[in-house]
Amino acid sequence: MTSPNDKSQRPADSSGIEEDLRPPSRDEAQAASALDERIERMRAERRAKSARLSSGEARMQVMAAGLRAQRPDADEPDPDFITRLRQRVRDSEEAPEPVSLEERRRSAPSRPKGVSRRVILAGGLGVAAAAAAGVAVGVGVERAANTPQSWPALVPAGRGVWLPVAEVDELAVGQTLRFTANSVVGFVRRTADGYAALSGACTHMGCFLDWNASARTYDCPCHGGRFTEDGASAPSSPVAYRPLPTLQTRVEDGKVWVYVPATSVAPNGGSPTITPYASHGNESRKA
Amino acid sequence: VDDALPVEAESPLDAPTLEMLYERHVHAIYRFIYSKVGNREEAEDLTSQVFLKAARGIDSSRDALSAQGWLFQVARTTIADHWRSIYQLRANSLDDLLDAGLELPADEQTQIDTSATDRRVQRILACLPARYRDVLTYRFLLNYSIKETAAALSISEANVKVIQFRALKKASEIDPDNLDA
Repeated sequence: MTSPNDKSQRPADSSGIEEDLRPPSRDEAQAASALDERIERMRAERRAKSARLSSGEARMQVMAAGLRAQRPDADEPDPDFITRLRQRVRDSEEAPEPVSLEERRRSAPSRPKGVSRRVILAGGLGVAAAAAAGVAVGVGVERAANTPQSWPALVPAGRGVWLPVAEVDELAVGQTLRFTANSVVGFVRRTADGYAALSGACTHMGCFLDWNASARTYDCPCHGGRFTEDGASAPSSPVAYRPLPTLQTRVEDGKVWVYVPATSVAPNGGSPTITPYASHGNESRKA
Repeated sequence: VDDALPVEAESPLDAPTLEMLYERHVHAIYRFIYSKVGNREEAEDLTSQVFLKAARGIDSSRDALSAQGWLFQVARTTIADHWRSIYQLRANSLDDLLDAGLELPADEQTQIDTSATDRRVQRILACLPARYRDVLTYRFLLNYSIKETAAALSISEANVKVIQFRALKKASEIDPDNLDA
């Protein structure tokens, strides 16, 4: 690497802090690149990835945030966010839910099995501005205990529409595809005997999951949550989260269809050009 | 969605409802959090957490002023929990970070004074060597890409990244309390 500065332009400074003109060591160049990746994520207004940082690195991250906040209007909240959160705060006053990690840990095992309760579930939104954790779509879901036998369905029967999300020949067995349909971001996967679909929003705070093809897990970029390909909390997840809600799938006309919420809650969310498929019969396959 | 503003409490000694707290403070809480995380997604995550925690913890015996102080305290602990979680910081590193990043406003009962933060940032920038200041200004205050910054300063993109690293390191080591000398 070349020298980080042109010595002829070396500035005079009165601060007592000298500019370091030495070429970077390999370690420093690597640290500078890693920092820049985190900064570019910030510039894209995306939440930081979970990473082990030293105290110094964390301080630099916070300094960068403080500098960014100096831009005019940079720190003005999105009015849509303010509106959505207002509604969510009102709802939570009626039915308070534990939100902190500690409380989730404490409360999760004690939940009585088989008891249905209404949960606000991040189905995920198709628009970046609405990607906020769990703020997304409040979809009321009847769900039972955290057991594989009673996997929660994201869209109860009769409340959704069928939309095509993939061509049948697009997916080989074991392959996974991410889709956005109405207000849902999810994954459809070809299994040995058909297709299965899952919500793509982490059940912790609603961040969108990434498919990790080598580990065959869905990984959460926010707090490191991991789910197996069939939606259970993975053994390598730092905390056991609720399983990912499933979506019904069916195959027709050479396409894979997924049962998603009937209306798009967010403007521009999903695929408005897709014509809803008439919902009928029981030939749907449960994931 | 009902956007109507709630009825304001008549006196600062009355306990505000959660909706009043929300309408009065959500913007300031969001800006405070944004200035610590620097991106919209995380600012929205954490602002949501603050008010959902507040929904559970609201105390009708708190008057408006102490309710406001409490709300900002919830914001601080929410940010601290979040940092501990995503950066996997040891306790002493977290304390160090909190000392650097989450200083209490001079008067806990007043809103976060953003102009004080502005002045602090200006003072920090002023202490840096010119090249460091330039890179930070282009990258963060003007939101230039690495490529644009390199072009503006006539240096290579690799050099921009190294200078950015060194400049942020120095800037984050400056104790703003010792700048007024």
